[in-house]
Amino acid sequence: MPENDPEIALRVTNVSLSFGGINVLKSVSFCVKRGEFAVLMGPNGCGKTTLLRVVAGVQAQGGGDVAIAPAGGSRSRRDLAMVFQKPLLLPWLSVEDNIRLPLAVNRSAGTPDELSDLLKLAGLEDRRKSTPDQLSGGERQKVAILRALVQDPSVLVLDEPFSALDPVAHTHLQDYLLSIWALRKMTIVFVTHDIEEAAYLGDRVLVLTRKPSVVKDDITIGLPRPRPHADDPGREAIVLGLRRALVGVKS
Amino acid sequence: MTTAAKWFLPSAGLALVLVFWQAYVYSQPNKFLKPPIGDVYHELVVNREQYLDAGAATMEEAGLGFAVGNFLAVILAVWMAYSEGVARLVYPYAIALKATPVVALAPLLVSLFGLGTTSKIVCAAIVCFFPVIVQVPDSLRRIPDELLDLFKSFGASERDIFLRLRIYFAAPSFFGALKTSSTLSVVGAIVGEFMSPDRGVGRDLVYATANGEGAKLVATTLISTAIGILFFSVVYGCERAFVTWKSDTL
Repeated sequence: MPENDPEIALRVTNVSLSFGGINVLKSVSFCVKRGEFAVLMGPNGCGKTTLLRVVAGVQAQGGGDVAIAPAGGSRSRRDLAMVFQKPLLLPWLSVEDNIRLPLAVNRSAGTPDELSDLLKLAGLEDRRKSTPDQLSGGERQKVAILRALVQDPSVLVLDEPFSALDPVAHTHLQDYLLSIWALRKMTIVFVTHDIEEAAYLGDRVLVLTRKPSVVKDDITIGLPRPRPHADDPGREAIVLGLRRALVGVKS
Repeated sequence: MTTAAKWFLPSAGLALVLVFWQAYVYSQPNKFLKPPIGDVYHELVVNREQYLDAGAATMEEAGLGFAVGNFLAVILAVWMAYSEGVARLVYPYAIALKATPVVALAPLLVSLFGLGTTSKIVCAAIVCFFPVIVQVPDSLRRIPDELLDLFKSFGASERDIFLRLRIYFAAPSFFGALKTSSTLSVVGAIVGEFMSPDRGVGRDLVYATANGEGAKLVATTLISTAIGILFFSVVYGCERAFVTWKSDTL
């Protein structure tokens, strides 16, 4: 794709990283279009989380480049926000203050309406003053997503955010994330090792190899939305294709 | 355990100790240094102003020693958390200081700071210094990597990380150290008073022992216990007010 294509929200170019002489990422390159829901998959320990940390600027890369293009005319406070595997809510802060934490760190006020809208969107209006220990696992992860959304990012990256949840909460949060994505029209990069989840959520699935990690497959999921959670022949075919791609990596 | 049982058991323990004390005292031929409970109570009531004055003097020395010792310890602990060089420089001497009994240090402090109040405050400050130095630097450093990643993803500065994360993570061990030093400060002040017995609970203990005044000795001991409990309770109250969260909800 052309280097200054306005349709590209995130461009990762030849990103490499080594830890203690072990190559973890080797010239990883991919682009994510504006408003696209991209899923990163790969075997355990292949470097998905490391790649996401590099993209989020939390981990310095050894080489290469990560470019995030802010949305045109956007009022984005930050270009990118990250949701981690654990909710990582600070137990000494209320739900409201946890959501506002990135704004407090960046000395940005935000607006009361904005916070109310976010809480309403998550169905947590009455939990505003609760502390994290008063929330269920699913509610905590919702607050973690709201904490990312309050930064109004053009790109949202999520690192297996639902993997520790029970199946009901897992399904509920998948739909919640899709509703946010549809509403805010943001670009999402989502890491998972769950093939069913990738087929349900993604527009595209990027399959990473074992270490040193490179992008082995770039699979477009051409299924219409809303998608059923299961028993759909089109989706079954996609799941099978993804499974074959991953089996190829593992062998 | 029910609330009633929680209150009853310590009260029953105290009653048991008093009964044993009274039985022991009446079994002894010489009751001067082993006074009955009634004599101790009488001594406390009759000479209450003297005990209040002595207690206030010891509280002043212990309180100032607690404040000075912990203030310096906190500054050094933060410095040690950020600089391995400072930690390596300070830690062995902090251990050496702790290993030296305060009773052995007290005469030296009197020769350095004189017979007045200063030597007693320094004595209390030295014993208060150690718990924070040992416990706090590690707690400030040992923040889970994922939380540091979270703050980095916000673009947080180290100042933000310190003020919004490290302080809270270190708070439980900080208050644990303060609770330890709250009672140690009273020990330090009283040991200082032993060396130059011009005021305070330590002076009364020295004179009561020298004069064989059993009731005064026990009454003064009870005053020192009360001061220790009061100091501990104040720190415990502050801890309850500040550390209101459960740490297992990340």
